[in-house]
Amino acid sequence: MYKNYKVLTVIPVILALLSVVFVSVNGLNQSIDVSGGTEITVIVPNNFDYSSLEKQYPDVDFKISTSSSAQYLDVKAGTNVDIDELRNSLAAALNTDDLSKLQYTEKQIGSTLSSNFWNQGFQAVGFAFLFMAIVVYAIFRTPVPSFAVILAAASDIVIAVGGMSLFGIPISTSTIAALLMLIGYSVDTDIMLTTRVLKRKSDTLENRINQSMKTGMTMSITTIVAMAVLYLVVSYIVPAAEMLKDISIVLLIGLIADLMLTWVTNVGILRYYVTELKKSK
Amino acid sequence: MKLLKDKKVLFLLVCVVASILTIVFNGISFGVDLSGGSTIVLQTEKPVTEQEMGVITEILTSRLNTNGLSDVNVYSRGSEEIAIEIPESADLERIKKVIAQQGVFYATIDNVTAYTGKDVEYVEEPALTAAGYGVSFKLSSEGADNFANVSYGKGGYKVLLYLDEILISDPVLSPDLADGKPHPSQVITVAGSNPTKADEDQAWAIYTALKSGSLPVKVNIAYINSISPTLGEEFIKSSIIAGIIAFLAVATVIGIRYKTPKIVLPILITGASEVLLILGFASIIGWKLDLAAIAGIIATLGTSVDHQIVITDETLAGESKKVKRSIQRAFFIIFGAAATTIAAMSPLFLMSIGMLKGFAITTIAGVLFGVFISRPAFARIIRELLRKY
Repeated sequence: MYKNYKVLTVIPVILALLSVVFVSVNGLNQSIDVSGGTEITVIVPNNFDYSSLEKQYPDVDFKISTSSSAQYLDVKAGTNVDIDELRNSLAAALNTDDLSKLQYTEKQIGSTLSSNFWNQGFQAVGFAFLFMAIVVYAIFRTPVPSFAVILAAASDIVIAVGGMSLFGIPISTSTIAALLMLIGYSVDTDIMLTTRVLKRKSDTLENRINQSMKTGMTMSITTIVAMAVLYLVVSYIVPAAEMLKDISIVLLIGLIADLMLTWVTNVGILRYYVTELKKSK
Repeated sequence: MKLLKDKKVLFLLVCVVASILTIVFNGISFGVDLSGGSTIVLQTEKPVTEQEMGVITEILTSRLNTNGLSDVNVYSRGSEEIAIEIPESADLERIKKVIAQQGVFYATIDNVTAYTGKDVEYVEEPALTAAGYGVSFKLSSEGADNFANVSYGKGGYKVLLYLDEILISDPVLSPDLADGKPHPSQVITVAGSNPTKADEDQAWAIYTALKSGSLPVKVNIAYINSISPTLGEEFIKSSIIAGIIAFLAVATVIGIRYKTPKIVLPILITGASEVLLILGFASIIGWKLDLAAIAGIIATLGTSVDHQIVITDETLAGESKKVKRSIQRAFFIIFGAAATTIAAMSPLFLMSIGMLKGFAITTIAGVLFGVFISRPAFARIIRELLRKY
């Protein structure tokens, strides 16, 4: 297997490239953070029938989600919908004169702010990545190992975005936060691996890699388990706290991809660097 | 017991105790997305000066107070955004009308301005008047004189009343009022004796505009987030439950890996102490915890556990003489990872995606507390414990 490591190394990178293609074809769901509009979540009685509302507002997206204690109606409308009217119809359907008397959340974003958001979110991830790359280079000061860390982090973000496209997770404030967190988590294991391999002199290369893997797997698995739990708990208890749910699922996808990127791609490049490139110099 | 004499361990203990005391006595406040209430962000039509921003926030505060909301928090964000936090249930439709209007008011007769919002000296709350439902107000003597001059001999003409360039009322001037004498008492009626909710909102918007004056620029509502207090409580409760269950899951994983409470407990306790430090910090600076901040705390806890695993494994790997070097290497890894995390979060500060600031603040604070307070102490503790292990 070790002979084939160079082939294996590129597989996750190819997966990342496929992700790019997939995202550009399939596109990303946009939350109202990006597209502008209104999102209303309200607790409704069991068996609440919203089909007449659906008929009345064909452009509006209605969705029911159920938790252990209640049933939530999630309403998403673009900027082209008259929100006051929609709110009144919704109140009428729920037999109340004022929605704010119910268990209710409403989020409304204007189109100027949402277009700003798109730019700023994009820039935030871009600059975060750039700053991270500079710091990583400053830490190792050798091009190839630094490049491996940065490549792994970049592929990781791209695969996470691919996962968002695949599962229809919208790009929003919370998922941008998740992508930024992912940069941190991804780099954590990569830095640990690179430091162990380059700085520890006493052991053989294989032992250093295996030791790092033991540590790194523990790091990743604790976070993966924590995120899986968070996802399940939030889905089951409060579907309305969508932010936490989105963050946990994006991190989950990214962290699983990170296992592959760190222990196949990054390890592969380091092994090549230590056994062949460094010796030839 | 020897551990308690260690400076780093002692420092962590002191900080944690200080945090707990701050949290107990100072309390932690939650943002409106957790505790219930509304956040509104207004955008000015063009960038304004600091001075104008001051005027805007002052007027908006007074408008909200005028409409019976006392505990509001109005602050500017940069030179184009004003954020408003209302920590209670409020009539959003009325609030939107009241704050989003610029409030430029004037009255014309036969295309001549008779008076403007500046001439209004006193306004009464919307009520039924002899002429119908509406707002009564008094003009200053100067304004009344001007009105007398403009209206003289114009009995039967319409008085056109404009608010933000929109005609809100056009009563016919009665000949009694067009006699050239000052008549300071005026009424704007918006409906007959049976006003609807929309009429009432309209009357309150007029009342508010006359009372608080006009904003220096037009503003638009860019963002509204409103959450009922009961749902907010659910959020807090479920975040805590999710946090505890996730914590237990982490405990299980490291329990399986290390199999001894001597290692597992210090990792968990140190992780929990970092959460306390962040909460204490939030309490001291009066930072309101919102959902984004909770995400930041989760991120910190994740990084914290990761880094303690690095320290533990380096300590376990180091031969008795080389432990010091192993720990040094662990800290090289940790400082590197912390620096990259901070680098990744910093754009959120530089670019003010307002809603993610809470996330950046808790994450960066958590990383710094971890690197300088809790992880050095953890390294000492684990070294001491493993010596006998």
